[in-house]
Amino acid sequence: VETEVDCTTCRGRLSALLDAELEGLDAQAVRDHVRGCAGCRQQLDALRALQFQVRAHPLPLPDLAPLAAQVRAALPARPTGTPRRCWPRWLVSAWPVLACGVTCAALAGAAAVLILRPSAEDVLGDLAVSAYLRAQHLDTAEGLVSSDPAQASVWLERHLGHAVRVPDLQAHGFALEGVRVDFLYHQPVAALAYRAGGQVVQVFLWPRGSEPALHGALSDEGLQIRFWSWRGEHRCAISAMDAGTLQRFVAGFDA
Amino acid sequence: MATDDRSMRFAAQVLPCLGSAYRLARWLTHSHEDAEEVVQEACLQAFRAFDGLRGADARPWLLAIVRHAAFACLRKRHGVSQHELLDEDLEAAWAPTATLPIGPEAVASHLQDAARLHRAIARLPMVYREVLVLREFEDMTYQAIAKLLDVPAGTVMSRLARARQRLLVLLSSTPARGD
Repeated sequence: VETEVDCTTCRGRLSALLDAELEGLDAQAVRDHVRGCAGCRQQLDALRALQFQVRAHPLPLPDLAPLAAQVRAALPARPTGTPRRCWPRWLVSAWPVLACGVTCAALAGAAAVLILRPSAEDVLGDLAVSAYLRAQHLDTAEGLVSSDPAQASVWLERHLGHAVRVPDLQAHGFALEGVRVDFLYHQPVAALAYRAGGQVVQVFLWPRGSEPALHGALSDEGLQIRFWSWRGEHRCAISAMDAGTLQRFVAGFDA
Repeated sequence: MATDDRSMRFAAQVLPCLGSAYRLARWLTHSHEDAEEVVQEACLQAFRAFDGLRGADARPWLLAIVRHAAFACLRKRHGVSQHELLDEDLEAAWAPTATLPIGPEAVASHLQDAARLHRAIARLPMVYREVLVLREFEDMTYQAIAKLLDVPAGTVMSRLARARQRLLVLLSSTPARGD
């Protein structure tokens, strides 16, 4: 099969050819065109010269030893043998504050948006953001890729040891992409991923003990975050989608 | 107090990537001070998320967190809007048929001065600068960059082509030192 390309197509692919990112017939067709076209050959040569010069002039790095020392010094130290699989004391102590905040907000007639105590807000937000980022950069082999809520629910129960409801939100416009087990401060939690359009929303679920309900809405670093509790479960949803869409997701999740 | 083995594992896996982290942060923020702060913040975030790494390659994972922290720094400290950071409209402005503004010999002569090249890269819009930096200085594949940016690999391919085209345009218009 012979594939021919014109100058327009060729010039759009020269950069990828340079990076050896074109495959098979596509790469061969561009190479064949370049061989017989002086204009495209000159463009490829210019791009090659540019790449050579750019790579030959990386930004000089400063001495990073002081920065490494600062990072090391900022890492928490903990006596060996301290149990890990527990919720941090500050988080447990934050829950009454959160619940109180919800009550005040309700009394004020406000929407279910809560101003969290700064320390709790920062750390809860960071935990959720970190988990969100982590999910985007781990292999899907870490979890189950499935659009079947029943199958996903079975997988989570097998890995977590307790039942996890995975709602079907197709009717609300959110398609299930998969599930995995993640960790929020060393505590295993169910992590569900849904997609609407080009945006992903992740939901973390973990059993609620005797602590008060959790409710909050944060906006951090371009991500919308919701915390809430429902039917014996704490939940956290996080996404880059707009606040209204995420609220629609939360409503559908609880329906 | 004995240092926790988790901190030691983190230091062993993540700190070797500090150079890559600083370089990306520096290119995104244009500032040594901001870059150092971004890397420190990113490392703390990475430490909190470290349990989930579980043997995966730490470098792209850390770079994704650095990028996120750099954007947060630009928004909070410099008032840069999300639209400015990720202006997708820019992509429509490039025509693949356009003739490159300078030829290969001119590229070589324009780039004798590294500072001139760095000034030109710094002037690239963010969506182009980040893919160029990840490709040329971190030597990442299109697939790896796509995963880091959460965009399709085809988008990386087109952004990189446009980045190089724009860089050539900028080089042809960026004065050499002393001009």
